[in-house]
Amino acid sequence: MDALDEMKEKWSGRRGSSPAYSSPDLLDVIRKRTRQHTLESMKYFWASFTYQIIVYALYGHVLVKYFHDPMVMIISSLGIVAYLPFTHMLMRKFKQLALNKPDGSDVSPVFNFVEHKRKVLQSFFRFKRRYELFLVPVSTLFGTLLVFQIYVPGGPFANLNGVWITIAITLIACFVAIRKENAKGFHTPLAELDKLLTEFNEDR
Amino acid sequence: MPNDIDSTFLALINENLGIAHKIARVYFDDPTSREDVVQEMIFQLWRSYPSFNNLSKFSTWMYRVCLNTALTHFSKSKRIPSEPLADHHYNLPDAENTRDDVDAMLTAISSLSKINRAIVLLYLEGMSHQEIGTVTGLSQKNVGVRLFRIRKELAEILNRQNQ
Repeated sequence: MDALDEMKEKWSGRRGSSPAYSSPDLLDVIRKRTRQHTLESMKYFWASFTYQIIVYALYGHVLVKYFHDPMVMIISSLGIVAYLPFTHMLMRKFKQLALNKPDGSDVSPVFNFVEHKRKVLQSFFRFKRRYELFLVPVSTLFGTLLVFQIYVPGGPFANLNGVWITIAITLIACFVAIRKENAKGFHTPLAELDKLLTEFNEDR
Repeated sequence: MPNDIDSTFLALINENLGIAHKIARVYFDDPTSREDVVQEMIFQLWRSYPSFNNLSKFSTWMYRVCLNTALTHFSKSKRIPSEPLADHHYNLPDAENTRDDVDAMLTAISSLSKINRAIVLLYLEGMSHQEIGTVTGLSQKNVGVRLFRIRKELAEILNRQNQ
């Protein structure tokens, strides 16, 4: 008899009284988990939603306050136009990710479930990367131009060195923060899922 | 938020709670992560219970949901603080009789790759190759090939443990 069959014999002999949950115990676990899942999803939703509101409020405010300045008008309008499609897409993606409704994948075979999880995460990450590659530099550029146009005498074109330095510092700060966030939230989980899928696909 | 628990669900969970503990034991090293994943499994089981249609055994369905949860729980384990379980939830079934044997078995299984751990757990539950394939999504033939290799690997691990 080999090790596995020996294990099976011992395993089948160990069915006994299982520790039991009472109805209030189980209800308590489910309530706490529901709350944790909702909080976790909503934390990201509110963070990005608040950010979008601040951006629109800022552009809207300077648009109204400095409507006589064509440069401010152009930058603010472009800023709003650049953000609108991303706000729409971001909300749609968040809805998909955060709805937390069972879609049947939880009871799929393990391989299909892992594949589905990877697909959802990869799709959101792809969108997030595009968003970061386009919107972070554009927002930085518009924001810097606006600040220099409104607050710095002579405007951005009289202070080109200052403009470039501000843009560089902002982009480096964003790059460091985004890299850290992506590693924790996307690269590590995606690598784990890839590892599982590779293991599944061996000898298939 | 739920106000009540379906009595059939409660009975089925209590009857099969060992499955969640066994899976947590072979996939997670520290007790805090195990507590966390067991509670997550119970939550996922409760969420998915409406889709349980009695076409398969509850234990087979539970294995599927619990394995899916355990295998993809890595990203959450450090972020979601878990509530402590009551003392009686730490006791595995028949712990007093076969604790050492079972511990040695579970430790050996823990050193296998993640997918092979799932295959062994299902095999030890007495599932056929076809049933294991249905739960994991692998072909029946692939399950057979993997089990053949797992036998060799486990024998080596247990030999090392005994030395």
